[in-house]
Parts: sequence; structure tokens; C-alpha cells
Amino acid sequence: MTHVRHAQISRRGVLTAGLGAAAGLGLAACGSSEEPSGGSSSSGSGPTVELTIALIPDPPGASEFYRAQLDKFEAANPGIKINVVENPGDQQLSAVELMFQQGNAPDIYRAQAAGFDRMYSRGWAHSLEEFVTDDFLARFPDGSLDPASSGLHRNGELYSIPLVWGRWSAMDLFVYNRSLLSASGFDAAPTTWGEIEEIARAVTTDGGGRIFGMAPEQASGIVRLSRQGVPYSIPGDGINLLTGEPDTANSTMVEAVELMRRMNADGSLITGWESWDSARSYTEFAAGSFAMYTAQSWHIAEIRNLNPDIELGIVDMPVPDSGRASYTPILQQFDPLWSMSSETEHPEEAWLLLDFLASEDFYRAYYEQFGTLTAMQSVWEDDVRANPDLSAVLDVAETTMKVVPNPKLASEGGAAVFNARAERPELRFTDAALESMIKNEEFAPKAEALDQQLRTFLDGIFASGDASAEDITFPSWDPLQPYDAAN
Amino acid sequence: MAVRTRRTAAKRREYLWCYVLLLPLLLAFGGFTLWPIVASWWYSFFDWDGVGTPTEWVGVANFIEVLTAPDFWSAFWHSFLFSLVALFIELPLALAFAILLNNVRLRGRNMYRLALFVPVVTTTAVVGIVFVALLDPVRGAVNEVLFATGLVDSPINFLGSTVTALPTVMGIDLWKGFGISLIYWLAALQTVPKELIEAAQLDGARRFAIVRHIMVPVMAPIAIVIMLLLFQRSLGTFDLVQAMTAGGPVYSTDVVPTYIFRYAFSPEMQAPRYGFACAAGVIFGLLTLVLTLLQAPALKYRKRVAA
Amino acid sequence: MSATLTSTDPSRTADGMPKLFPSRRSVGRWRPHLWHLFLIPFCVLWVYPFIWMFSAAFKSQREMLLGGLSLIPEEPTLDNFTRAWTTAKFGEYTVNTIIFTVLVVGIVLVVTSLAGYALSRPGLPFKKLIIGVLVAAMFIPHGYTIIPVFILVNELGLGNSLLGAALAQAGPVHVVPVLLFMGFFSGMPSELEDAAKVDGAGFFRTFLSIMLPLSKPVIGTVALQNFIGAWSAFFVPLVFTLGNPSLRTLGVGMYNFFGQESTDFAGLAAGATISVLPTIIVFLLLQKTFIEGIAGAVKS
Repeated sequence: MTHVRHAQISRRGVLTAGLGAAAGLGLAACGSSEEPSGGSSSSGSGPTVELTIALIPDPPGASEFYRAQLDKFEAANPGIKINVVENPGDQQLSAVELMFQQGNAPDIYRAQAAGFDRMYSRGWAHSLEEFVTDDFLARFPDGSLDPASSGLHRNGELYSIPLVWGRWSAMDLFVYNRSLLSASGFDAAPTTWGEIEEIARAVTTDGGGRIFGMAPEQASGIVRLSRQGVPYSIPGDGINLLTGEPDTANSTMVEAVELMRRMNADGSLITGWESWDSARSYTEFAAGSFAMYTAQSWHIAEIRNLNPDIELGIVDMPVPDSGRASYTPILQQFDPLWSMSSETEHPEEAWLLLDFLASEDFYRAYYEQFGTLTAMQSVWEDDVRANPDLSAVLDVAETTMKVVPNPKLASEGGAAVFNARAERPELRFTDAALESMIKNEEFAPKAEALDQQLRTFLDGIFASGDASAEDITFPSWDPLQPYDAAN
Repeated sequence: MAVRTRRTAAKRREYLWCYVLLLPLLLAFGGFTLWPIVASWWYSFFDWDGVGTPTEWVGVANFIEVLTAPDFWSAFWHSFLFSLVALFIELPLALAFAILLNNVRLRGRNMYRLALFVPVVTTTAVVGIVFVALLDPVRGAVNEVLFATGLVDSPINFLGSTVTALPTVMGIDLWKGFGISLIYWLAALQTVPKELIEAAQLDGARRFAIVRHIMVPVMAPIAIVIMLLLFQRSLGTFDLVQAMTAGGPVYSTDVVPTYIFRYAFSPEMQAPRYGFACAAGVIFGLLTLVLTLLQAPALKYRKRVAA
Repeated sequence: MSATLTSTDPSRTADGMPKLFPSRRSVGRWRPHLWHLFLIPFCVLWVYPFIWMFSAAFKSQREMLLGGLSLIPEEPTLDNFTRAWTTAKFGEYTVNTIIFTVLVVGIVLVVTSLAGYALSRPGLPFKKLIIGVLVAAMFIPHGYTIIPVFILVNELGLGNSLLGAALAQAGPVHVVPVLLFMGFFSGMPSELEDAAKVDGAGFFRTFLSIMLPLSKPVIGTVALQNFIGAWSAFFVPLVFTLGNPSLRTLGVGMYNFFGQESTDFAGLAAGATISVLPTIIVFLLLQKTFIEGIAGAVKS
């Protein structure tokens, strides 16, 4: 399949013919200094480079925010014009991939987590090593951009720019509505799973069919709760890193699912949660329809926006009745977010834009607009304690997160296992858990069946020689202590 | 002799013109029907993510995986149920309304027709969004009414329960497609020749006899076409399910087109499985073909009646 | 058969149909009125989702959030429409949808009327073969054809245009309209053509200036069917505009808006209203043609 670039030429009709021809070959890697100086008559003031950025306009209001910020960037860089392509979160990845296939790739795009790995594995991410300056490195805490643990590097080279503080996107929060709890006679948040169940039932009973105890956030509530009791890799991938074995049927894991199943069966979970997305969760929580849930950090500001007076409590994730046995994992310093296209014709200008998206001004503006703790700690460190909500979030991050072994970074075999596992989403516990909850069926037999399939899957990989059981076994790791990879 | 040659030449020129006029159709047919079919068959033998050229030949592995996937068969069962509802509920109901609304003495029948037809011309996403809001257990109007009138004491979880979700979506699908069947039937009713009925009445035929011997035979061929069209359409239901439930909860409303869509475009997967999606599409097509052929006796009947 | 025609013949209904169910006068007169008792509430319930949507479009965002069953907005506002039209780009989407729909209808009409006319000529060699292949293709399992179509449109250089999306939408759907046109043209009396030939009109001229104008009922039916299909199309425009959201149509934009701003229900309702009104108007105007056209279609 050849990527003929007619479409791009016609769409960017304002570009000069010389540029267009270069673009037509898809080979031009020229910077601004090499621009033909004929200039487009339409813009008047010299040559203009157009860049396209493909982003997801979240949270609500982000569309206007990005445009305003990019206008600032354009004002500061008169030769550059930015086109924004907005996609809903669930379409972004497919959309960017189709743009690449059409030979119409964006210059900068947003791709996170597995999505970024997908782009990287296709060779569609441009290494940023050549652009990085000391000034750039100085914006982030010492050591946080270490290739081995930054989360932004692949093969030792920087490939992505973060938006938020690493812990912000990785943390587990439990939020509750103080007034609803005290109306049912509880003056403190639940600290154990048993207490969640007790409080949720009481609130539901008092709510008379209008107010409910909890919303489960599909299966993510189970993920967040369970990793206080079992190694994170069990809810994540079904594999216990302590033993290197499939362990979905782990008794604590099963108990987490059974807790949700019981709560759904007795009506403590709000009716209709099955078809909710997460925007619905924070909207209904703000409206007072239910008392507690396992929130994502960016929900906090949205809840406040919708209902400024809500009596919001933000606390650590409750632990199993038998006590804490694990922590929320810190796998990497940052989540990758902005990447540069390998097919960009203007890498120099594209870097200017990336540099702007990683600038102090941008990080501060984003923090001030959305109340999100952005990747540059210095912009929020000083005044975050003045905001009680964010202060509570920070406390939760400090007390409930620990560095864990990351098999994907530890060895090639580990990466092979977990990348292959990601291509088999049906091996994850989530579908089975939701089925247990919704149909009120026992989870343990389903978990054992999954473990058998996982066993077959692992044996297949080990047999191929791509990995061995040792690559995914970390016997010396104590899940209650921070993991030291050097050890 | 000379006249004849001129005639043949003229004919030949005319045929040449005909082929010129056919050219756009043949091009479109080749490009948008034939080649995609062949290509998707070809892809179905590869482990391919839809990007670049497929290289990883896996033989019939995709087909075996589809045929042995319980999720596929449950999705197929749901698709089949959609067509059963269409054939056995929507079609007769629409006929009843068509007979009712075919009566010219009924004032405002055009308004009624319009009302029943409006859902057809409405964008599916709009229908999905509006019904999701109306049926919401927490603040949806339907549950508010049921609650206020005391018909239920706890809200009905229309789209969230595995028991009610499928019937709910089917009901909305019926609501949305009803107008098409209605129009088809109205059209069919217009084909019944008045003279025949008149003549029969003069002969003193009874009401039932007229229906049995005139209306049924005249309308039957059309009814079979309507049935086939509806069958194909309802088996392929996609937009509405995708917009309302995307197949959930726990795949209880999953139909084959949403099943395929998930494998071809899912953002949750590390890589889409386009080859697998193609294989599922081919098998779904084969199953549709078989189900359509099962209706062949009906088609034969149509021919017999028409003759 | 006109609705205004009144019949004085007691053995016929008002449209000239012989009465199927001759019965006592009083009952015959009463029955249609009784039906209103059922039809009016039924149809109101049937279109209730639309009534609800129109009313929501005029409510304030706060009123929507608080809920309430009243269909009459407390303080009617047009804010939602301005928000949907500008911020949510429904204006842009509407323009795209119009362009997309017109292109689809145009392509289908041109391709199928030409082919239908050609195939209606008696004695054309390979005629049966062509028709046979077209019909057979309807029944062959298609697999999942969206990616091959996507690749083709890209190779044609139309990857990022509404024309490309329209081609993908219009490309695969011609068999039925071709048969419709073919049936119509072959039913035309040959004297018409002979007359045209005597006047010296060529083959194509005859088609364009005499045959085509006569086929208005078929054109109307095919156009309307494809109008409805294209206006509310979802899948093809979704895939073909993924890479360029400024080309989104209403169907796709609506869906995306819901994903992004699911808290702004009033804005959504306004957007939905914008997207539904044109089709309702078109249907109102063309209802009669449509029913008659389909009647002709199913007959043949």
C-alpha cells in the first residue's frame, strides 16, 4: 500500500507549490530554515508552517482551553499555525492510525499507555532525543527522566511528553459524600471492605429508592480495591508476580469481586450503573444520587464544578478486612501522552510545540484551569496545600502508593509476555467479574477457568522461547515495601 | 440489403452506447462491491491488524476461532432474534396499521402516517441518546412515571439488566423501523385492483372469500419481497445497538455486527484483529445466505402466484 | 386516487375502492371516528421521545440537570441552539451532511439511471449475465469490507474528503435502483423513442431529454430512499471522517458530542433537534410521491 499524499496537498492548499511537492513525496524532513522563501500570498507575512495536533478534548472545557493555549503559542511563534483535530477518547487511537494510513498523519498526537505502545511498535513515533535540552530536563525532578523508569522512553530514547504528574494518573482514590453518610449515622469514611458494605447498605435503605450506597465504576472499582490486597498484576493481567503463576482465583481477588456482587444483589449499587461511563459517575455523585465510589483523580475538580457545596470526603482506598497486603503500584514516573509523528515534515516546529506543551506556562495554565496536578511539580507544589481537595489527594498519593517491579522494563521476556497478554483482552478478569455481578453468579469457578486459559497462554509463550517463567517472577519482592530494582 | 446493414450498424452503435452508459455502474460494482469482497476473504486468512500489507498467513485458524467462540454464537443468536421480532411482530403489526390508515375516510391519516414514520428518518445516534435518557433508572422520564403512579416500587433497569436490555433494544428497533414496513404495506395495498374486488362483489362473493381469493394472492408476492427486505435489514442491525449499549451489559445485547466492529476497531486492544473480523464477517454472510435460502419455498410460491 | 375525491356511490369507499365490508350505514360511518380514540393517544405516545427532545432543547441546563417531567420549559431559552450550532459545531456538521447527502443521492441517481436505461434496451448482449452477477453479489457473503473500501478511496486520492465518504456510501448499493429504472424504462412504449429518432435525436439525447424526465416517479423514490439513508448514515461517515473531524456529519457528530459532553443534555437535545428537522420537512413534502414510488417499486 503506497501512501499517496494528494489529500494532504489539497487540504493544505495554502502551502506553496514547492512545499506541496516535497510533501507529495513524503520525504521532506526540512526545518523552517529550509522553507522555500517564495511565501504564500494568502498569509502575507512570510512562510507559514502548518502543524496538526490530534488531541482528546477532555475534561469538559478542554476544547476551548487548548485553542486558547495554542493561540498563545502561535502568537509567540509567528511562522507556525496549528490545526487542531479533536477526537473522543474511544476513537482517538483508531482515528490517528487511519490518518497515518491516509498519509495525512498529524504532527503531534496524544497516545497513552497501551495506545502509545501500539503507535511506537508501528514505528509512528519520532525519537525526541535530538531535541532535548538541559533546560527541558531541568523542568522535571532529578532522576525522573531516567530511561529505565520514566515511562516516556523506549529503547533508551525519549519518545513522549507527559501531561500530568505520574502519581496523578496512577493513584486510587476513595471519595464519599459526608452528609449522606452522617444522615445514616456514620461519621467516618469506611476503611475496610466490610465497612463499605455496611455503610452502603444503610445509605441505600435510608435512601428509599432514590439514593444509593455506591457506584462501582464498571470493573475499575474492583481493580482499585483489590490491589490493596493482592499484587497489582493480578487484577491487571491475571498473573501473580510473586509466583509467576496465573492467580485470578486468589482468595482476596475473589473476595473483592464477591463484595461487589453482594452489594449489587442487595441493591446497594446504584441501579443502572451497568451502562454508565465515568462522566456519569461524577455527575451523579455530584447530584447526590449515591454516597461513595472509587474515583479517578480528575473527577474531583469536576464534582466541585457541578456542585461547589458538596461535602466531599477524599480518603485512602479501603483495605480487605484482613488488612492491607499490597499498595497501589508506581510502575513508572510518568504516563506518556504527547508524541511526535515519525512522518512529520516539520520536526523542528513540532518540537517547538511539544516544548510548549511541556512548558511551565502550559503546565501552570492546565493546573489552574482544571485542578489537575500536572507533570511539572513546581507549578503546583507551593499552593496545592491551600486547596483542601488537592491536599487530600496528595495525602492519599503519599500514603497508598509504592514502587513495584515492572516486568516489562525488567527484561525482554517480561515485555514479551505482557505485550502478548495485552492482545488477549478476554483473559482479563473484568468480563467475568461483571458477569458475576450482573447475573449474580459465583466468581471463583470463572476465575479458575480463566487461570487455566492463562496457564495455556503462558505455556505457549514459554515454549516459543520468547520468555521464561523467571521473567515474570519476583520472589524477593515484598508488596508492603517499595521495590528496589537493583536488589 | 442496404437497409438491413444500416439497421445492424445502428443497432451496434446503440449497443456501444449502452455499454458506455453501463460503465459507471460496472466501475462502481468492481470497486465497491467485488474487490472489497475478494479482499476481505483474502484478509480473513491472515493475522492482520488492518495496517500495511498482511503478511502473517494463518490459514483457516481465524475461521476455526470464530466457529468455536461462544460469544460469536451468542451474538448471532441475538441478531437472529432481531429478525424474528421483525418478521413476526413488526410485520403483522405494520400490516394492521396499514389497513387502518389506508382508509380514506379516516381523517388526518396523513398525520398518523407521518407520526409513525418520523422515527425512520431520525439519526440512530439521536434515537439512542434520547432513549438512554428516557429509560434511565435514576432520572429518566419512564421510570419517573412508573414510580409516581405506583406501578413499580423500584426503578426498572431497562438497559442495565441482562434480562431487560435485549428486549428493550429490540422494542426500540421495532419502533424505529416500523414506519418502513408500514409504508411498504401501504404501497402493497395500493396494488390490489379495485375491479377484481368489484367483480367479485357483483358475483356475490363473501368478505372472507374476497380476502382469501383476491387480496392474499395479489399481495403475497409483494409480501414476500417485503419479508426478505426486512429479514436482511434486521439481521444486520448495528447502529442502534452500538449507540445504546455497544453490546453490553456483559454482551447480553451483542449482535454480530457489533461483535465484528469490536475486533476491527476496539481501542482496548493492543492491536485490532482485522483478519479475524473479516473471517467473522464471511461466516456471518454464509449464515445469512443459508437462512435466506431456507425461505426459498416462499420465493417459489411468489413465482407460482405471479405466473 | 386523490384524497379529495368524494364518492357518491355507496358501494365504494371515498377513494373509489369498492367497500370491502359492506355493513349497516351507521356503523360504517362511526368506525373511522372510533379509531381516533385509539390512534391519537397511540401516536402521541409514539412520538413522545421527539416531544421530549424538542422540549429539552428549550430548557436551561440547570432545569435539565434537576430533571422533572414537565414538557413546558420554565424559562424557555435559545442558548442551547446557539451552543450546539457554534461550540459543538452542529452548523458545520449540518453543512457537511447536506453536501454528503447531495453527493450520495447524485452519484446513485446518475449511475443507476444510466445503467437502468442501458439494460432496458431489448436484445443487449450480456444483459442477463450482468443482471445475474449484480443480483448474485447481493447474496455472496461480504466479509468485512470497510477496510478495502477505505484503501480504495485513499488510493483514489479522496481519503480526506466528503466525496470519498459519499463514494463509499453510494458505491455498493445500486442493485435495487438499477432494477427499478430498468423495469420502468422497459415498460415505456417504443413509439416514444421512434418518434424521437424521427426527430433526429441521438441515443443519449433521447435518454436525457425524453426518457429521463418521464422517469420522475422512480427518480423520486430512489432519491428519497438514499436521502434518508445518507442523512442518518453512521458507520461509513464515522470511519471516513475519523481522521478529519471537520468533515463529520450530523450522525457522527451527535454520537461524539454525547461521548464528550454527556453532562450537557440540553445542548444535546438542541443538536438532535437540528439534525432531525430537515428530514421531517423533506418527508412531509414528499410523502405522497414516496409511497407511490415504493408501490411502483414493490410491484415490479
